[in-house]
Amino acid sequence: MAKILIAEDERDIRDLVAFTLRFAGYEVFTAANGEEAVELAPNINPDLILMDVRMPRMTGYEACRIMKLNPDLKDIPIVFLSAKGQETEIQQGLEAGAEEYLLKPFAPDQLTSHVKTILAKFGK
Amino acid sequence: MVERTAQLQREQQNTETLLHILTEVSSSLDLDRALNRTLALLNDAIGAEQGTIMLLNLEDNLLHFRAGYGYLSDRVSGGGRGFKLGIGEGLAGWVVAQREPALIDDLLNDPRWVKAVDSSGEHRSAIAMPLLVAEDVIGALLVYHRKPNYFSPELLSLVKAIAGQVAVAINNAHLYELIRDQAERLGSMLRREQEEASRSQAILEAVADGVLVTGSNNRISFINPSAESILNLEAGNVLGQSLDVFGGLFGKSAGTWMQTIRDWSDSPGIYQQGDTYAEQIDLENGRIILVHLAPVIFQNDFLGTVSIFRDITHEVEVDRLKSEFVATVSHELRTPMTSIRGYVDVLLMGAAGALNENQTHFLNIVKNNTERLNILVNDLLDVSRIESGRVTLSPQALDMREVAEDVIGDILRRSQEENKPMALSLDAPKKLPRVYGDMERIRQVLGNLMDNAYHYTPENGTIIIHIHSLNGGGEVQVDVKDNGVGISLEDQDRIFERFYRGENSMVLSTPGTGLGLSIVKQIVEMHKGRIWMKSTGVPGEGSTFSFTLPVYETQ
Repeated sequence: MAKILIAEDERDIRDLVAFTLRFAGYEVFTAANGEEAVELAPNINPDLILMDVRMPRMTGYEACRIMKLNPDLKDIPIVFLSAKGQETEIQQGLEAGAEEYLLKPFAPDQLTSHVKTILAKFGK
Repeated sequence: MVERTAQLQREQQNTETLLHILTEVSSSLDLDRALNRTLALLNDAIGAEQGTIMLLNLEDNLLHFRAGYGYLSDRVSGGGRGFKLGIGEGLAGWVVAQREPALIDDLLNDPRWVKAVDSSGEHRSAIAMPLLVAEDVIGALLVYHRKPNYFSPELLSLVKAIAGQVAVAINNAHLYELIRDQAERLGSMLRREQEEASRSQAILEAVADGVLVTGSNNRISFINPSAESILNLEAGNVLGQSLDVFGGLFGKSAGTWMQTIRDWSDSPGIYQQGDTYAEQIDLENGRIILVHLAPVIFQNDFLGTVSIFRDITHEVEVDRLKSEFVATVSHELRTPMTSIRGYVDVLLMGAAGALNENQTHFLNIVKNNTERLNILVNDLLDVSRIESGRVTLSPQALDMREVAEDVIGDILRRSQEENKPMALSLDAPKKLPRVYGDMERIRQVLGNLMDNAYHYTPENGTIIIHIHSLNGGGEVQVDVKDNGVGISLEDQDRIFERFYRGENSMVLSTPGTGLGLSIVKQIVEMHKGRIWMKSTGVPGEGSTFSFTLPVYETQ
């Protein structure tokens, strides 16, 4: 089963996303900010990273840029999770190298089907 | 020898009398006093007992008694005041008509004599002299004596000389009176105008808003203290200067304002009646000014322009903070909402164990209310973003038929999901000009109007979208017509106001914020379109919401 790394500072949302994806059968790992995600990613070698934009210590954008510079990590698809109405954030996120953008609030089945589509797109 | 000496003495006396009278009549500007004094001196000089002056009144063309001096005037109260003679009437009338003097030895034998007052019957001899100024006769001077044969031809010449001076003096006095009246009238007019001008000026000086006036030549003719402080200028340095001199101070954003003044000044014909202009100007010093400009027109003449300035730096800052606050709060609300909605969904999925009927029902209530909150937050964000000008349109050519079909598809799906049957139809010509609009935003407008129509029409109702071109093809009009509850007449005026939802129970029981229509209106207006609604207010007759959009021009 595919491995997914979630980076989200809000614990409730992190747990929700983790629970939903585990329920859907994925192997899930979590990080509380961008820095943790950058540290964990090489050990886990996930098939997909879901990342919040605004996080303490290191934002999602920075983490995304760092991983895209790392030859071992640069091919892992990254999807940002962020609130609606931040069109400039979407643009910045895509420029930082993310594949997609998923807007909060999202329903669990929506999240699951989205994740499934992206993994399929990347042949995982 | 003696006779010669006496004659010389008389001549000297006469000359002195003349000089006295001349001095008297020319030095006094009070005509009545001067005439009385003249008559007194004249009586003394020639030994007359009574002197009278009658003047021609130009209004009734009659000779009016003007001055009298002598035994008669002292005795009779009023001294003949009010006595009038026509030209040619009486002795005075005769000399005026004939323009020549008369020496009468005995009045009792003269047919021209008319008694002025009771006692004037005592007069026996007289000299009557016309008062002439150049070619004009202005009245008559008469001297009397109670003895017959009193006046000699010699005295007649003296009286003639004096009469000449008196006539000039009277004429001068008349001119003086005329000039004085005129001057007084002008003076009071000027005073009134000055008072009026000072009052207007005082009002303008006191106004809290800045006022700057330019003349027709584009030069500054007035600036009040508020404008001095708002624009950071000193009246002394700007009055009379061309506005262009200060262009640099106002910053780039003032360009249009100054150009408008220049255009109006250069060709006053271009402004239309009622033309005004308003703009927000960001000054170089960081202050934000709202300027209202209007031409000053008086009886079709362009006199210049008046600009009213208001410092709105504080208001703009407050507004920015408000929008920022709304945006931040709305954004911060999303995180907890994501959690609430997500966990409810997880529970409803049965991912945390099976649920009984009540649990499912209650969780659905939580879910619906979360959805309601989500709509509110989205609307608030939209409002704050539109108001702060952060919404930029990406207009393109749009086929309103396609947009309408999309929106109808959404509503149809909902109607099936919610088991609320509704007849939806689109009535639009095949050949419809494309409009110029932002795809997402126009979809939001039509979607919102359709949502409302769907919500406020009971099941098995009808909703029709009617699209047609307007104004010779310059605009496209979209009507959304339903046969739902309609909108009561008293609610119609406020329907586009923020948070206004009226009193209808069907409306109030439907989740909503009262922000939708106000957002829709702003979006339509951002596209230079118009929006309005019609409803009879009778339930079942429904309502029709219409908006227009400009047609996409290919060039």
